[in-house]
Amino acid sequence: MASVQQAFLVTGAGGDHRRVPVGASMTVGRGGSCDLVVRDLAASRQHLEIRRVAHGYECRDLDSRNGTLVNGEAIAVRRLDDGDEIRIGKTLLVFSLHNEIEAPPVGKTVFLQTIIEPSGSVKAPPSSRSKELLEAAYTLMNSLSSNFNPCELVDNILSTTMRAVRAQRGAVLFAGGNGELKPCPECGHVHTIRDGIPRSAGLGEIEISESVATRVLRNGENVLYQSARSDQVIDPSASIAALNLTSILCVPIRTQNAIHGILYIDTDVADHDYSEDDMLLAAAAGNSAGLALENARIHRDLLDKQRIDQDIEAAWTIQEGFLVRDWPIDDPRLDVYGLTRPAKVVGGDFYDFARLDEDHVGLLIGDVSGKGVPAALTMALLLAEFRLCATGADSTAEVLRRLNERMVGRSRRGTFCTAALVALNLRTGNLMAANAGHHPVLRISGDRVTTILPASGPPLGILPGIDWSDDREVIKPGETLLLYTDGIAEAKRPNGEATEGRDDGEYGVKGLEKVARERSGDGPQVLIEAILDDVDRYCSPLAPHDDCTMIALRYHGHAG
Amino acid sequence: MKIETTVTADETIIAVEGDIDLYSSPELRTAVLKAVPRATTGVGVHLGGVTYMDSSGVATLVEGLRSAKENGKTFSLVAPSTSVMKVLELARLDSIFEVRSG
Repeated sequence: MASVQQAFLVTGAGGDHRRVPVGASMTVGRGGSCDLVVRDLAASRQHLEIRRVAHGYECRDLDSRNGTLVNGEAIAVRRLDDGDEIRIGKTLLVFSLHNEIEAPPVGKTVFLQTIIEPSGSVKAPPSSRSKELLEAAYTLMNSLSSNFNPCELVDNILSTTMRAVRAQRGAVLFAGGNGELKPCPECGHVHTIRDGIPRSAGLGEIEISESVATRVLRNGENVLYQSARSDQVIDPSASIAALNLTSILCVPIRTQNAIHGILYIDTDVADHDYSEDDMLLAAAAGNSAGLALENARIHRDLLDKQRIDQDIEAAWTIQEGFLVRDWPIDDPRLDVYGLTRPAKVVGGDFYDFARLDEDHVGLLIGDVSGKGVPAALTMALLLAEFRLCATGADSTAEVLRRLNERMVGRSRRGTFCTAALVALNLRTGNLMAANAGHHPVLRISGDRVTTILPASGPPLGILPGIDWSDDREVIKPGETLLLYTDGIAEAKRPNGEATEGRDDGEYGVKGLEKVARERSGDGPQVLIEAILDDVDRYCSPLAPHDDCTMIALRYHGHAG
Repeated sequence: MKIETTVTADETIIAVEGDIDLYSSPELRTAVLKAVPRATTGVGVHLGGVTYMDSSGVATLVEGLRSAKENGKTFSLVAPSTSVMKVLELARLDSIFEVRSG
């Protein structure tokens, strides 16, 4: 704060008093070119001047017709002291010198002109006026916090503010991309109120001072414009004069980061000027409106998100439809069961079971890189293509080769897929398998658990022309094959520490082996559900961070 | 994750440190896809300081490899850490990428 004392001219009293900074000099008179315009018939066009001089301020009468009184004495030039009363006709101005630190304004406030009304024209006692404004502020706050409909909010804000400042007409306009004025983005109309009646208007239908509105939108200033007709500076387009406006109140609708629009109120009623108190209320309304509209937007984003979530859940239902759930129960040679549990609503893991011919079945498991919807879509496509590629192929490697060529052709952003495919001859127990970058297969024989059929090539979808090899094994009746994905093998302890001697703290093959031994007498479904429970316990209290998928087949042998 | 790109006369080296996961891999992706077309002969991604790499990290490297092939550039993985090597070996990605020790 500068130590220089600030000089003000004060008029009115109580809640209606106004303070006008004097600066280095100030002319006062009836004419529009004066720094301070008084609407008093007794005032001359150029009535008096107040100037800063060596050790204070002086008041000089500019040869006015009716003269200037300071503290009741007619003067030509007179030094001014704090509290001196200057009278022009019926208008009383009080000269005030203060070091006063002003309360920070709500926004940057520009006083364009201040008309000092004859003191006899104060309409209501100040105390009741303050109460009205307080009540308006309270009403505003209440309506804002309980409404998420942007258009209703705008109407509420406008009508409450206009009632409080006793305005005849007003409008709310929004900011376009290039700082231009736009109608409400919600309904496409400009919200206006005229004589208490709300109306939706087209942008071209409303009459406002565009220069004032644009200025508020661009600079974020609160503008109070009083007796605009006499001013020559603010509106080069002269729209104010053309519209016969006497007073304008215009404030930004803002949040911390942006100006979203403006609240604009004007009047063409003579002798109706909006006051600084009116402007402060409007400025507060503008700030609250920004916040409320932002709230409404966030509320709607939340609703949109809920809708998207519902769509994704529906997508998962569709995706699940691709997965086998009707496990064969009519073939005494095998029991088979599989499941996938996505970490998010939808997953990129998949499994499949197919009868290739009377004596052959195929087991497939896969894991598309990434998570969520993109992975789920790729997975759905792959699953459909797997059934296509499996038709007429005479080896597991051939199926993967076909799948790879299809996937490479449309893979984006490095998406790839690990997959293991096992074909079992139910007559002989002969296995043929091809593994594209996937985990090996777990072979469970009583309490003997081994890993077989490791990856013989990279994942699908990376490069064209890859050949995988067909690996072979033979399994005996009573043995179980378990195929699983990363979500199981790489399930982690919540603290990420290595435990029970497992590498990197991951659940790993060791975890699988433990449950497999405990459940060696049980069928695939019991085994898989026991593993899933164990993985959940392992990760607890967190949920596994990846999709968990398994498919298991127990071979009973071929009778006869 | 920390990334440092060094352009030399023949190869652009992108040195990565820390975890390459769902959250950090987009940054690596930007660095790799920017470096590939500008590199004189090719790009080497130094993975010696990588503590963890998930499938989004692998996807980023795969995209880099494909971009290099399209641009007629080389693409290699330099001195991968043990944890990266484990991921590459398990998925047999070591058969796809050129991996060198230094």
